[in-house]
Amino acid sequence: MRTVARIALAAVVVAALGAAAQGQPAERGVSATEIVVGTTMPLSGPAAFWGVPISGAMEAWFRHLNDQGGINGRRLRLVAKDDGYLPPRAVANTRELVERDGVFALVSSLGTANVFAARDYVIESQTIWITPLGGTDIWAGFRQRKYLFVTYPSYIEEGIYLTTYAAANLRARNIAVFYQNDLYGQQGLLGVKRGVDRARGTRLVAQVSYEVTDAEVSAQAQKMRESGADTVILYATPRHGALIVREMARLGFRPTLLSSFTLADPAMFALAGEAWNNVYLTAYFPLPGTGDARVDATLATLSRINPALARNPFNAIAGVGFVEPFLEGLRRAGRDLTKDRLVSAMETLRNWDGEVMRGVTFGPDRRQGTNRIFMIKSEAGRYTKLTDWYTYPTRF
Amino acid sequence: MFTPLAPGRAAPGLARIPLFAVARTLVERYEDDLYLVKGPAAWTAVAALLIGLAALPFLLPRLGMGYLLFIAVLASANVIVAVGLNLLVGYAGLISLGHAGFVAIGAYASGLLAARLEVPWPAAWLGAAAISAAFGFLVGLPALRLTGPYLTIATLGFGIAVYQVLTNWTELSGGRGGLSVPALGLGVGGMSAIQQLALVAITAAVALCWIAYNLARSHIGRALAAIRDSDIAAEVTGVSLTWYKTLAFAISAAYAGVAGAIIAQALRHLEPQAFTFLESITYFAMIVVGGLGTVTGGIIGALLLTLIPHYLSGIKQWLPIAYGAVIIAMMLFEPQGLYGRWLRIRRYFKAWPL
Repeated sequence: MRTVARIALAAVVVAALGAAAQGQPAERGVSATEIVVGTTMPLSGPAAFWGVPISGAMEAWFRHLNDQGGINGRRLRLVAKDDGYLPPRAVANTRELVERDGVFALVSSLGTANVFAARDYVIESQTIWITPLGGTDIWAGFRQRKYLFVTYPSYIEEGIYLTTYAAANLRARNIAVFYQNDLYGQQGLLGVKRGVDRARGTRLVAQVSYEVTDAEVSAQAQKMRESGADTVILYATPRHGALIVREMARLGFRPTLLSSFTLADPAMFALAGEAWNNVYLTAYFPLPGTGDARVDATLATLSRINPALARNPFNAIAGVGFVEPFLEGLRRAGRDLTKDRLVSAMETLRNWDGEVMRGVTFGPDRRQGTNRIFMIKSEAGRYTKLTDWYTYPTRF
Repeated sequence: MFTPLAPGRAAPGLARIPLFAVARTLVERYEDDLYLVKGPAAWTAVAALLIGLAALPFLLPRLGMGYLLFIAVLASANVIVAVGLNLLVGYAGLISLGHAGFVAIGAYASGLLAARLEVPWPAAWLGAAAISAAFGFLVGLPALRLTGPYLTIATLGFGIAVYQVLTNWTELSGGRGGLSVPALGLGVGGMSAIQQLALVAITAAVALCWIAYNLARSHIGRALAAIRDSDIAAEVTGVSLTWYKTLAFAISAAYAGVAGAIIAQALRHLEPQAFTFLESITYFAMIVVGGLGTVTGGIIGALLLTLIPHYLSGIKQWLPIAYGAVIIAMMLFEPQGLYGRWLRIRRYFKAWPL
């Protein structure tokens, strides 16, 4: 009898201790004073020139918000891990962020291969995933996306727009594409092909690829000149984009140039010089220095907190754009924050304008937060806006 | 004459009882010398290690360290590559700077076998090992004629060629768009996918290390070492250069193939970019840091160079510099690697206080 009593007493004590240890049944990554957000980025290696300013800007923006008291009384903390642009390290980081650091949400993750490698795990662990940067078209038809929110344009839709715009406004007939041989470039190429099918009188005369490791692209420039193209569309990194336009100019080959928004970085003027004049590009948020007061103010704030970000204004501003809708979701979800409350709050975003991103919309069946771009043109070292928003159909 | 201290025989006096279990140093028969594990203390240690490794997939999630399972999978794969590479470089003296190519072949072979032919995972993995070994045999053929830097450049070219083929032969590999690898049902119930994979990967690593230990101590290992030290002398004493050189490449490539299959299953999305020349250098660095020409050295090097980038990721762009500096320092101060240093420390304490 005594033994039974002792066991019963022990059980009660253990249960009490367990309950005390648990405290309030809080959401992972959310404490009374803090919200923890994680990201894995290439902070070293071949893609560091994207990863460093993007994560730096997110960190600076969090600090800016924390200085104003955080969100609903909680401070934001970013845990950024370096993956060197390597999928195995990206997956290891992602698992560690979720299971050890206990983040409330994951933001971004850069590179198609890295996103693919981490995808199953993030979806299965039911972690909130904000704008994985790896081509939005991979999510079309993907079912388990309750906790996924993407505000990044589709390269395929962008390729269609660039081509049809060139056909209608720039008298494009013979189109050549210079693209990076990976999913980014291939999706752009696919978009241009679809655009050529739609725009009467145009045809694709050359599709010329390069590898991201290539150091020079003169053969590609020669090939495009020989194709007789009057219009060239670029899906490249800033470095290769600058190389190809300079090489084409050297050959005396000056077609109409169009490019993906990935080359809208002002650094292009320094890299490509005079050859980066009269290039038509798309943009999915107002670029810094084009007369949008809110974007300029955001860049000023970022540069004040981390002066290095001023050297990379485009990527820094983009970094704020990636997290902004999520931060608005946190505001709307209120003090009593859980994962599912955040999802409900995100789904109330209708045509929402942030400091950088504009017209963000989510819904119960909609995870593609942005579906519009506009055309800009480079002239004398700066960009000017040419068109109003162009809206394309959402696919997920 | 010595009286060997055999178990069961009482020691004559207190003075003869050793402090540590190092009594069985006198070997009377050749077969005794061949035992991989000698003495009860060593057996206990090996048993504890094996039980520990087997328990790892169950233990880590309980301790709230489940995120380490993925790193355990990567470490297992790297251990397998390094041990296989060490058989080739450390034992046979044939330098390969193209091992990422064999890993890539193993990864894509297992992925394609599972995705296109829908074979079960053990068959896919064995197929990966066999296909990789066949390529190893082919690369081994030029090794019969080429030596030193020429062979190194040939293997380097092989690694780059594999990368180029996988990039451009889109119908086979999916090119830079990538290849999706289906999740293999490993058939272990009641465990999460990563637990199952970790268990299988660790088992494969242990089994392949055990095979490597035995290969190294058998006539094959001695033949390889003989070729390394002087291939003319080896041939004169009856070692077939053709057979053993191609065999060394085939075995080493088979190891890399199994590692590739593990990596394919861990990532579930293959891209040629993951198997560049830089990976080959990393594998080579593992055996240099750990210790050339010993199985244990390969294991130590692989574990270190898997864990260091993960735990030092905070230093960001300095990581490659730190990496290079460590390798140069090892070459200068520890040419026998970490395992060599450990052996010397052990010898010192065995001889202490002499």
